[in-house]
Amino acid sequence: MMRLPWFGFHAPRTVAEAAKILAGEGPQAMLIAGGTDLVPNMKRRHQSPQTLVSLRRVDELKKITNGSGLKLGAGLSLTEVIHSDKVRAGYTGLYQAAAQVATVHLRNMGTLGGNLCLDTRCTYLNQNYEWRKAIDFCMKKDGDICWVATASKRCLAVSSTDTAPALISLGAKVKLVSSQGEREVLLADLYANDGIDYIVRRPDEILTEVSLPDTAGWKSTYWKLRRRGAFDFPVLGVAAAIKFAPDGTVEAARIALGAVSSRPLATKAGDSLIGKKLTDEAIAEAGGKAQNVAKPMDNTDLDIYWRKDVVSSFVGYALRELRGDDMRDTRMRISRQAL
Amino acid sequence: MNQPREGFLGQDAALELSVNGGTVRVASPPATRLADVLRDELGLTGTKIGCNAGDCGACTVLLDGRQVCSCLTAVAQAAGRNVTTVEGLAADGRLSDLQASFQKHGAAQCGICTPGMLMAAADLLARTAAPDEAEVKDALGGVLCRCTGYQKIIEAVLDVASGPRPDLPPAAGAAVGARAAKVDGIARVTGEERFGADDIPDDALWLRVIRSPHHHASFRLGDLDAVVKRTPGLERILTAKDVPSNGFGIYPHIKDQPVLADGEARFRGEAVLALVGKREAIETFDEATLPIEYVPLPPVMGLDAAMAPGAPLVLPDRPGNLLQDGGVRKGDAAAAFASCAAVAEGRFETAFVEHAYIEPEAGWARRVGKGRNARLEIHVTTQTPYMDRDEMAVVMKLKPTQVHIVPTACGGGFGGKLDMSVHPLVGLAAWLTGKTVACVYTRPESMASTTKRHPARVHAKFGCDASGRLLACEVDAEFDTGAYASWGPTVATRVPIHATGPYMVPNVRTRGRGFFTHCHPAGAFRGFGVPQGAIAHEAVMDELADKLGIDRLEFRLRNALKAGDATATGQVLEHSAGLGECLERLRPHWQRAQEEIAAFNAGSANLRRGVGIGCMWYGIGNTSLSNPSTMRIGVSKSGVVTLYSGALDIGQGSNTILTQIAADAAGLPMSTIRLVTGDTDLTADAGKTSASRQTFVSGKATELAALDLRKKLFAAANAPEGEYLDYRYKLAIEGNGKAAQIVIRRDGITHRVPLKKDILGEGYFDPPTSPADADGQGVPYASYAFAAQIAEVEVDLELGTTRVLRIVAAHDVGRAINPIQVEGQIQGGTVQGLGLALMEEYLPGRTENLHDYLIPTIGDVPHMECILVEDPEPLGPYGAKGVGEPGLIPTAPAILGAIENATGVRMRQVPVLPHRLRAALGAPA
Repeated sequence: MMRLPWFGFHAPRTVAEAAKILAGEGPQAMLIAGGTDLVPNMKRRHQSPQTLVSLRRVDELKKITNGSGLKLGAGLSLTEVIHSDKVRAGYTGLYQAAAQVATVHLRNMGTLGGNLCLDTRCTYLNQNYEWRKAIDFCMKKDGDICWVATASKRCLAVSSTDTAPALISLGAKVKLVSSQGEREVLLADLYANDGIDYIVRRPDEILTEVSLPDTAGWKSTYWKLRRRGAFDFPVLGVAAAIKFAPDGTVEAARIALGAVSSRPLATKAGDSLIGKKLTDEAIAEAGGKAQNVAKPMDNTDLDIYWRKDVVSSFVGYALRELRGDDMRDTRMRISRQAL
Repeated sequence: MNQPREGFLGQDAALELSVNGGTVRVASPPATRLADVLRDELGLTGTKIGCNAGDCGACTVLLDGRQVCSCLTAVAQAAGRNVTTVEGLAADGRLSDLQASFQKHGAAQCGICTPGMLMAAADLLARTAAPDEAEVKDALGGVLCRCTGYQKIIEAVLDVASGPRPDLPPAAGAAVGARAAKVDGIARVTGEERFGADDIPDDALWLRVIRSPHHHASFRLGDLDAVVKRTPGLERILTAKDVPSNGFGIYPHIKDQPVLADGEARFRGEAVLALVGKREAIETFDEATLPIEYVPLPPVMGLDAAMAPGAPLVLPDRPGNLLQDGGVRKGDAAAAFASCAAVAEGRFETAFVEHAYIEPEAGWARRVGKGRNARLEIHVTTQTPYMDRDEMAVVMKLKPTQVHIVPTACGGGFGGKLDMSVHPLVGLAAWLTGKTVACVYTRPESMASTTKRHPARVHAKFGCDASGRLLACEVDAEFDTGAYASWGPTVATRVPIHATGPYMVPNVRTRGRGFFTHCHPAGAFRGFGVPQGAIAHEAVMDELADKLGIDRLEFRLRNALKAGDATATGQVLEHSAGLGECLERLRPHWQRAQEEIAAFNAGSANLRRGVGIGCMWYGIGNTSLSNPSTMRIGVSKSGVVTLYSGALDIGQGSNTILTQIAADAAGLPMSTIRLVTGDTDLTADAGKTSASRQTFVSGKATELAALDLRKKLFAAANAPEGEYLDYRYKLAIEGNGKAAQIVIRRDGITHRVPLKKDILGEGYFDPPTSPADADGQGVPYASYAFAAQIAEVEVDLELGTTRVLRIVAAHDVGRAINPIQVEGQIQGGTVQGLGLALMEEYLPGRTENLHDYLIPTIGDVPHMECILVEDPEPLGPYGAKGVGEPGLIPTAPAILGAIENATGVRMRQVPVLPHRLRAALGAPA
């Protein structure tokens, strides 16, 4: 019922200006890009910033440039990412992940950077204030207990970003800029397995850019499991990227999972594939290893045991697609999109 | 906004944006949602708010030509950009091709999602002039529709490339049976239609309901006057003490639900207090500062708890928590079972299901007149203006004539807007304060506080002889009716009557019981318990057919009720029992599906396809009760023809259908008939829009009214008595103002008479029924709809997921007055049935929004094919009966049968979530 609280609003034109405002305002200021995550969260009073700093007019965040691989501005809308020929050509997993985020209208608004910084979600959190108050709140906001597992010392909210697992499997790095300077971190290191402190970005830092390495010899893919045909947050995301030798032997492999942890989960399941060809047995072994480390919790839709049980199937789809199997029918069945 | 905005900006710096081509300056603060700015500041109420959370897409607009959710867009983010809303689609008063196509194809039913759908489609079409179906589904994927089942929307968008124009309205005498466009459709595609939240007066106070956070609690209130005193803008806090008669309910003798709880809250979401004041003040009021002291009490949750011996009572005067025990007994079921060659039985379970209309409850009220002439006027989204009027009179201790209900357009109901929601709250507040008071429910409060489909446990046992003829039926259905009765008694009586399924069964013993629990009331939801019962009887039919080695369709055909048969209540069906024809028409599809599936399964390991069939029957109108309708149609002396209809069109199309009936009965073109609907001061009581009754009951009353008008017009023209029944005489009203004339033509001869006065025709129809005796025997309904549907599904054995590939639906509707509307009802009902079967499960206290409670999206719907069987019902208008609920009822049974056919596993609990199916399949270790 509560309307959005009254607050200040800045619309800087440059990253430097935005960083300066953030430094000046302190932690009570928050960045807003597409707003598709923050606006409903503010309405539910998960966040109550005094000041919003909009990144929408910062043109330098909307560039796609060639580096050793590809550099994507964090302010690109997900629609723009999907429509980039360079992304489609070299980074299939990212394209497939971005194309499966939410719906067309939310992808038109939401940005790549926003999806990477997406707040963790939870059945016991993403509710209006009265609902949360009725359960005496939860650890992530206003309360003390994690209702997902009441003995838990940490918040077990779930990471629901689709693009992060894809980018992790692709070996992406992100640039964080503040008024103090800038740093680059491996995307896999941006996250922590804690529903509250799920991201190591400081409040004064702006995630400005995603750097992707050259992908010669690599193939990548992303598979998303969601409840309904048209849209929903993931109940499982599987991203895989593999570097093949000319004879099909796996030289390097990264498998990352979404929606089974408070962070996008970079697994070691791909290690078992190195030096092998993607035989059914090798795929099953990697699937089993990924499934073992997946820990779906009672924080989003559908039964947790089922969500764990289907991990190996989805890893299987991903690896078989990378092996060159024709997975178009399966893809259509699972995602209702050709991709 | 060209410069960075500094600090706390506000009134001093207005934002500029372009809306529908014109620049506007906006005074709202920068973080105000664009949807609110459009609606509240700019008056562009074509943009709807369904969830305010990005889950439903009703608020979709174009921002720089791209579709976005305006409820998630801070207006500052739109500064300097181009916003296009539904009001911007029609150029120079001419519908765009997209709007015209929606109108032509019947793509808008209630119309609440239509603006969002149109904007999403406009974005697509601007980029892709002739999209394919996959592109349409992708582009429209973020907008939810609860009425149409999406198919007609997809067809409309696909057809835009051909430059469609709505067909001209049918000529006089050709309206019934025509695929006529909705008479009220244009306003739905232009955004001009006014729903509950769209026409709230600027000077209205707003009302916010404070609801119990506990399933069950006692509570004490502290000093509320002090709260009012210390809170600027808060005018009053209403409590139970303010309500003149603090109980309402559907049945005249059961007024058990308080408007505001009195010391004890019996469900989570029950109204405890109402804050009345300036909108800003009540919306920003911190609920935590209210002096309410709750003492949570152990709740009775679920049927087992409610039925347990010695269970705590939800309502003190309801021993055993029993609401009602209904039943039907015919013949000797126990003895008959002993002689059966095959017997099958099973126990089936369903969940709470939420209506999830995209328009949350909304309305406003004011006190009009003074002293003894004072009246209460309520503008509200509803399915039933006259019941609302009478209920309000009870609650307010007023005479019914002192209450005036003005229905707004209704953005979906499905039974959920048959119970009062905002009405008594805004009515009471307006009466007490003397001011206009408005209330719009948020999505979570709509879901937490309004009725649901009854969760059911149905035990069904049927037996047949060796040739497959049913001999005996025993059904025991238990329903969780929540904390208050609502429509529970209807469910408890309707289900035992329908529990045999649409089959001839000589020996019957059925029972339906409703039990109180500490949940939101379960009420009316498309089918009144019959969909739950159908899941049971259809599963048992499959099993009996299999036991005897008889084809499942053939088994049903052998037992299908036909004219001359007696039902479970001993009612002999004299006419219009077209189940047999429905099944015959499905037979080629059934055979084709079986062949295709066998071929597919032969080459597939992990995916298995199956086909299932579900049948249903449905008594039209109230059960064993009078349920009349009065309709009026008049010609003013200035020559304007007006149909005065108290029957509410909640999207299903009755405005159009009744106009078609009126046109042909009067012998006038439907394009000349103006419509006045719903207003209790201007129309007669046509009864509620429920029980699939408006076409049948109000349709007949309309036919009689139009005939009465025709008779009076012929009399005014001094035509010989009885001549009006001869439609070779062509009637017209020509000229207007003082020159208006009655014109009657035949064989080149024209007879003209000036209209000297207003002439009004009236029709009344109350379908003949009789009360049930102690064994439930009698004539509970004057007419029954019949239907059979086939579902083809694909089950992923590895994941346990089920995809519905195709539905073929054959419905005996008596006569399809308007085939587009009939198809729309079938398709929309079918997709709700799909939701019931596979997706929807409302968990009290957990799924109170549209991202936790999931209804089918455009990506979940199969291709649907409708077969309209017309076995005429002599009582109905032009042979028509009803179709509103029948569309939903056979779908879940057909899907469950198809899953069984695919996998060999009979699912007895819905929804069939993937983990349930996977567990039943015996998941690989």
